[in-house]
Amino acid sequence: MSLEGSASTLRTVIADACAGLVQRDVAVQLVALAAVAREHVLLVGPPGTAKSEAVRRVARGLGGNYFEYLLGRFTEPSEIFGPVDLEKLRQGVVETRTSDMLPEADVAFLDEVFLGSTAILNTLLGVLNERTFRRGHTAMRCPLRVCVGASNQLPDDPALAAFADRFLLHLFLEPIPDPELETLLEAGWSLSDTNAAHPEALASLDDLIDAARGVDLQGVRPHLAEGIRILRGAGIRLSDRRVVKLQRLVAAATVLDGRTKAATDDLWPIVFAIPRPGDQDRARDLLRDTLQASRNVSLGAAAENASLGPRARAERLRIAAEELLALDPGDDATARSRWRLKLEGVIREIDAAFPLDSPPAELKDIRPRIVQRLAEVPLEHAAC
Amino acid sequence: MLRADLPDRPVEGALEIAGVAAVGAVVQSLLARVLLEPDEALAGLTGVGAPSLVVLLGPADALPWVDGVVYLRRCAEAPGLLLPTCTRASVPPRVLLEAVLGRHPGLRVPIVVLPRHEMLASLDGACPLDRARLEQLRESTGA
Repeated sequence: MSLEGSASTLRTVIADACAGLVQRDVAVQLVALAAVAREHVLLVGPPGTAKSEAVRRVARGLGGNYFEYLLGRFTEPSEIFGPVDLEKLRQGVVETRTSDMLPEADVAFLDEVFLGSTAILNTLLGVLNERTFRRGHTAMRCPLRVCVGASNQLPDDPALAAFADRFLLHLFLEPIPDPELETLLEAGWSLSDTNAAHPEALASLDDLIDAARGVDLQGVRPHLAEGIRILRGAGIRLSDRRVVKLQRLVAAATVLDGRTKAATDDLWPIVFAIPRPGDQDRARDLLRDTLQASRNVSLGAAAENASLGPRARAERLRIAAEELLALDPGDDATARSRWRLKLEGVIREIDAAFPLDSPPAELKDIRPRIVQRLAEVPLEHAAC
Repeated sequence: MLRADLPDRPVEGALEIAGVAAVGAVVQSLLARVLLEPDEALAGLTGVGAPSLVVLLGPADALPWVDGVVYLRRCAEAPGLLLPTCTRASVPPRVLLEAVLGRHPGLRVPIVVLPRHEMLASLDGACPLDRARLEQLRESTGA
């Protein structure tokens, strides 16, 4: 499949996974980014903030094997990696039966990941770093594309902090704010758990992983280095390992945007590679100029969240507008009204976010189309 | 001088919409649009109105859209001042507010400043929208 075809397939998976979730599209998109980059994500937030739901939906869309577990202080390694094969044990061989367990998963979610025992975390390190499971006489390559860890908070223990560093992307989630509660209630009531697997999704993901390895990063390395210097100057330090691995995230963002040559559009993942929430907020401000061009057709919400940039917002609004304009609102008055209000919401944000006399290129043609379409579908008078 | 000191730029970061303003010919369109809302939606908005200027305040999702309106933000540094969302003051907002109040001592906060239209108005008298009063205002604009 072509790069654009594979990126388009992932885009569909991401969009389907986001449908019905409120303010969790960044989480979904970062899981996809990590998968393409062959890295892992740490989601930090209070219980009940849809961390597991976001990952489940990506996993469903990708198809393949999914493993999810809630770790506790007394969780045994066999609950994660599989039980010891008793038949083999009788023969003096310590092998693990990994069927349906994490070593055979394509996508994994480990809730309360820092509660795992030393035995679990040590074995997990090998799976995360090398995609290799080793235990006793068992040594196998793991098909794992991405592991998402979740926790209520970052660990204070330095040993656990070192383990947390293996998750290159960190996203900090808060409960849905008050103004969005009605949206949350409506979405939660009608949330479907059946976003279907796209038949080509895993193959497309693997194509993108391969393509990401070949991305031309030469043009952006100076900008990336400058961004790191700006952060260091403000006391935000990234380990050398993180700095080098950032390039994987930039490359992944590039291919998910359908390109093979990285540009300054693709530097925004740097924000999510910063391990602490306060530092991420400072980084958004410090890197405002560096990330000015940020945008991504597959990961628009994440690019916009990282960069605070108008370009990413313009791209997101363009996509939202195109989707709505492509829909036929039909004859049902309620459906027409809902569709119209959504389209009004898009143009309201366009007019509020961009000066009318100098719209960004992404929105120049689409605004007049929205105005015309709204004129063609007048709003019915609501019952008083 | 006001226009030169208050350039328009795309919004960076969170977009916080606190209200919407219509000036001149757009007033009719905005009134016609808002009158299509049910009474309970109207009650969720407050506003001030005159034939040449209408300002509605309320949650972003509840604010209507018509072509030509101007969306407003409340300046975090000077909550008594509302500016168009894309307008960035080259002086601290509280300085701008003090300058406006100094020039117009009779005005009471909160105040909306619309640089492109060279208009400003007090929103002190903003009250919940009332269908009958909106209809009256609409008639007075010649709709």
